[in-house]
Amino acid sequence: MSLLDVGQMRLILALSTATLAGATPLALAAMGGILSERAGIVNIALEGFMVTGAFVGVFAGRSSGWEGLAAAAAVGALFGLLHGFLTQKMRVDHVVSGLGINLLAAGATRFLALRWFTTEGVTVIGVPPTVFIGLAVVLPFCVHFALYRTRFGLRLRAVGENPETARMAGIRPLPLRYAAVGLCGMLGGIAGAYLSLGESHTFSSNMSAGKGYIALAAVIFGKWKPAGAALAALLFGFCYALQSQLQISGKHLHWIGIEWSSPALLDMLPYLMTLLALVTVVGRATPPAALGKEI
Amino acid sequence: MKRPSLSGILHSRALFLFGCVLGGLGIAGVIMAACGYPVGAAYGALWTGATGIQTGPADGLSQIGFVIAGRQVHIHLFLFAQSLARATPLILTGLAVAVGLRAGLFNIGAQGQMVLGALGAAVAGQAHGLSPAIHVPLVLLTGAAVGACWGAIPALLKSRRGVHEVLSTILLNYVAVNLAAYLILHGLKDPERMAAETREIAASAWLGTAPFALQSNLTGGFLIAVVAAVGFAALLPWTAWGYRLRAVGLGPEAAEAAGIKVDRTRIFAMALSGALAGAAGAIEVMSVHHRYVEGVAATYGFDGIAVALLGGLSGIGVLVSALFFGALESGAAFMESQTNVPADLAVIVEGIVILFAGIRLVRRSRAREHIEEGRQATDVSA
Amino acid sequence: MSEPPSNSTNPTAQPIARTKALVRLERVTKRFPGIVANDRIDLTIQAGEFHAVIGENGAGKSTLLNILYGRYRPDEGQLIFEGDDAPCLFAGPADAIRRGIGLVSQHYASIPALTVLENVILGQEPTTAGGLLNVRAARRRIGELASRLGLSGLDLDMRADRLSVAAGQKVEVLKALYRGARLLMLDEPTATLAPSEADALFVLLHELTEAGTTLLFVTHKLREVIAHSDRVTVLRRGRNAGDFLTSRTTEAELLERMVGRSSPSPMASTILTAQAEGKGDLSVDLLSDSLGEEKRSNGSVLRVERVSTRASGGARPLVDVSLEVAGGEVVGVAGVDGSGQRELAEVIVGLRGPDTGAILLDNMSIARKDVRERMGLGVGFIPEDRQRAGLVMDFTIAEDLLLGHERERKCGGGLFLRRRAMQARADTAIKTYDIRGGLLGARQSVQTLSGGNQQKIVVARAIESAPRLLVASQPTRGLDVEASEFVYRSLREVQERGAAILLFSLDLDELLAMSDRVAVLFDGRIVGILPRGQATRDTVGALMTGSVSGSAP
Repeated sequence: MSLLDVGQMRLILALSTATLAGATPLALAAMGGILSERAGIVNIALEGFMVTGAFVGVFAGRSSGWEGLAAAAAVGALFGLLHGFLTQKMRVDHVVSGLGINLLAAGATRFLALRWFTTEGVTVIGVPPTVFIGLAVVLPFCVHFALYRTRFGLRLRAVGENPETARMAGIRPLPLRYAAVGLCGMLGGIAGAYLSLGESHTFSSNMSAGKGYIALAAVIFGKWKPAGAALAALLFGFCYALQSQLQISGKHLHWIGIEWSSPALLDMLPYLMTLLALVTVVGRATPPAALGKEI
Repeated sequence: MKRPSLSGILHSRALFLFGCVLGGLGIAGVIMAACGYPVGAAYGALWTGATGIQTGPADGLSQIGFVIAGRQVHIHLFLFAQSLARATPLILTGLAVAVGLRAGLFNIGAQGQMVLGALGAAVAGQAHGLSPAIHVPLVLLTGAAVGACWGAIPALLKSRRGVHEVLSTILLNYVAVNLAAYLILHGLKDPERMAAETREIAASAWLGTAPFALQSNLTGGFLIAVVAAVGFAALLPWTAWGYRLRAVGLGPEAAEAAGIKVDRTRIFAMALSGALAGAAGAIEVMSVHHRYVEGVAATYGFDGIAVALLGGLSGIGVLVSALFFGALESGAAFMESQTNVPADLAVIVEGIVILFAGIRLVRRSRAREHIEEGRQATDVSA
Repeated sequence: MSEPPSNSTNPTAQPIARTKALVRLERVTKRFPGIVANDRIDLTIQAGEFHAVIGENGAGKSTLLNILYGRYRPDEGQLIFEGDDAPCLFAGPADAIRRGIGLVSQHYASIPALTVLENVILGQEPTTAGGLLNVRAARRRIGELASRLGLSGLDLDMRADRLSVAAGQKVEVLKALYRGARLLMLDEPTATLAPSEADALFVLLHELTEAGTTLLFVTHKLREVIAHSDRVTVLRRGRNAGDFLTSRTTEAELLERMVGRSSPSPMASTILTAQAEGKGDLSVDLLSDSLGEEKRSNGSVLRVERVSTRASGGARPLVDVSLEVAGGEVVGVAGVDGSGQRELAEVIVGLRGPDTGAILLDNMSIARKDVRERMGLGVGFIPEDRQRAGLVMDFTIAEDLLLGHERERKCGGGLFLRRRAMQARADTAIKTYDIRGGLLGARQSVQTLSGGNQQKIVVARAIESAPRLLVASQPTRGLDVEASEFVYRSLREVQERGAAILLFSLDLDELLAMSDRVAVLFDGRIVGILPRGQATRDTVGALMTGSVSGSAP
């Protein structure tokens, strides 16, 4: 005698797969965000990396999804390096550079999509989503290991805390920061490619819909630690899943005059929860000491 | 995360910024050319759409003709007015971002503040039987008040709980949009409409259209925005509050140690910032849509960041850069209608202009260290 | 310039014959915009010696160290290493480390968020294949070095910000030795240590020279140079003002080279001489003696009663602090860096609330009042970090002078600022306090001023409103003799007006010379308050390390 009937089982299964699917792009981008921010570069540009990855994935992936994925990763990395160049060499404020890249990415992808894709859009075969999900599961462990158990990770953290002290220890901060922000761009691109190649098999201009910002929120929610950020991504993924499941089921939850199952409220949930977490649990978490500062 | 270095932005460098604009247009031109669009025709249309200036004789009521170097030219007043209309919300959101940054807070939340301001205005606009002399200010102030409340939240969160404002304002944008959507769905929706919109506001709350371009969206709202910009320009150097604002933004610790209440100043600044963004929303409702519609704020809130940065955080600078961005976006829309080049080109230009304008050629921390090290040595010989 | 570099004319400047040169600097010049920080400096460091470099703030000492460490590239001149024929060019600190140069500097101390172990191995991490950290090998190597340095109990997995100041200093030495330093450079290593801790450090340093390490010791304290070095180089205005064998020179000679003959600085010289002679209990004090006892006895201006604060955000909690300052009295607060000085100053001026206890100004409780209200009641404040808490660096002189007074009409404030009044007030202050350094006068940006002139603005603002109580935190930190002199004079003036002064300083000599009584903070508590007669380097120093508990009056 099972404790749950078939319907409930099915619901739980659907919820958990949807949670994983929702968390995947966030976790991928968040791992990139951790690398970048632990090296001292604020990365609001994650949103732009994701949009770019989503577009390039479809653009280059019309014959083979794998080619699209590779291209998305590569172009993402290039955008990451651009962010690195602007903030490190051109001394653009990190938030300003991130916003500029986001605008550029949003404008350029829409512009190019209107030119190169037909009005109905292009559908692609894409890449099986399990590839992305698998990557998203493994990656937090890899990033944790890299940060705390390797020379690269130690130096990266040192550069994010105090680049001048790192320099005085004989380390050159700049290559490390480029590496970190390049990897971040790559992961952001892959996360974006998941949205287009893995999930919807097409590109639409607003498909990242702020997921890059949410990934950044996951980084901070997780106190700049891979495990914490991954859990935060799962939590946000669960919000998305809950929302879509409630919408599919058509159930209404009405309580104290508020329609809790309203899609608008459910959409709001991850953002509200992040805010709430920042106000309560996370509190005054200390970011890397040199985050956003000039070297 | 950190706010941009203020004095870096404040440096008077109009020429450099002009170069940034040219650079942005240039790179966008290359992208256009690479996509096989006719660059010359597109930029011609962009220019006409932005300024209203066209070659050829005037042939209508809304056109004013004149002669330059023996060639007949005319200004199409409708196109010109549309550029100003487009600049109106940008002036206000640009000021909103500038006020926040002057106090040392990066307000990325002008978007959300504008959305809720617009909704508040649309609700206040439902009142009937008021004279325009009362109703117009009432609606405007309602929008500003709602925006102010929403804008003060991130400053409160920062001072009480240490939540970084960049993150909280981004999050609050999404909350605001969804909150507006929820309120429309559950109570405020116009039952006669399919789309998620409020009812139309009473005519007493409408802002009148400019008499020389009656078909355009240009209203008295533009004047309100200009007054706000001039007021802001006067506030900073001439009042004690403006002085405190600058002190808090440039040297919060020194301000605190000298007895200025940094948290209170910042909360007030963010409330003002939100009020300006909320007023932008109210003016859009009163001038253009006459109701709250989804997308009433377009991307004005985010564009305000570009406007503020390009305008060097000064009132007049914001005014000029908002006029530029307004003309650019309005011109791009005209360009799309004439040449099929997507209007998103304007967004590309904006992105590139922000990136260029953010470039700082002097490494500040190093420069200061050198000055310090050097000056100490001169002290002895001075 | 009054005199040429004089090493050639100095008979004692001959190199010591029995040793060979480890590094030679030849006519090294380093310019920064508007200033020559190092001007044709010649310097030879012999292998195995304890070489001191002395000079006042701004003489070019840190620039010299940064050049030797590869952080700055000299504009002219060269570094020649050991027996090399060719001058060596350091592309960066990595090259310097490779050549066996180590630097111990407060500015680049450990990274707080990393563990001690991570801090030590940073840059030269023992790794296994694939770049994985070999923590076991690191532990072994550090363990050996640590026991040599008397740090055997050190917890390597502790976050570096939990190290005490003295232990942190030793970890810096450990770091340099771990990287294989043969030439160990130390930049003002005793600035934040208690006397006994400094002594312990010197014992360690002498052990290192015994073992063959060469030391380059940079300081502005004559006493340390005389007591510990083999040779000494004096820097003044970016130039080498003389090389001396320590055994064949005197404090007076070094002081003269340091400050220059024409230096009109009786008080600063007094303090410097006190440093040189190693006596802090100045029976002959130039200015405070003119002040009679009766002036000091006009009642207590500040009374701090059993004030305690909570620990928050890395601040040292204060425990039951009680203190009294009378009108016309200077009470100095001594203590090792981070013993609660900043917190106490902040509690008194109102930047930090006391959780329990009372603060009375002229018998009126001010504990619940905010900063502005306290200033209105007569509290003046010279914050310790002049560039962050003292001034808005992007303001003009006139604007910075208005800070905190922007509501006062007589200062040009009010709802609308009155620029002309502001300007006039600033012009007066520039004249009165001799603020130099700009063609633009009151409209000059504060950023472009020298440290000394910046401090003049801070001091002017604090004393302009005739305070009843002046809280001065590290008022001479980083200033040269002339500017320090200005600060001392200003404090004396305030004192003579009958105001109370609470002086915080890490420079024990300055504190002893200036104060009528010295309170010693240790671990957030007052462990003793000594009157002038009893306050000496030894008594205060012992209290600072918490090794004895003093008697509160």
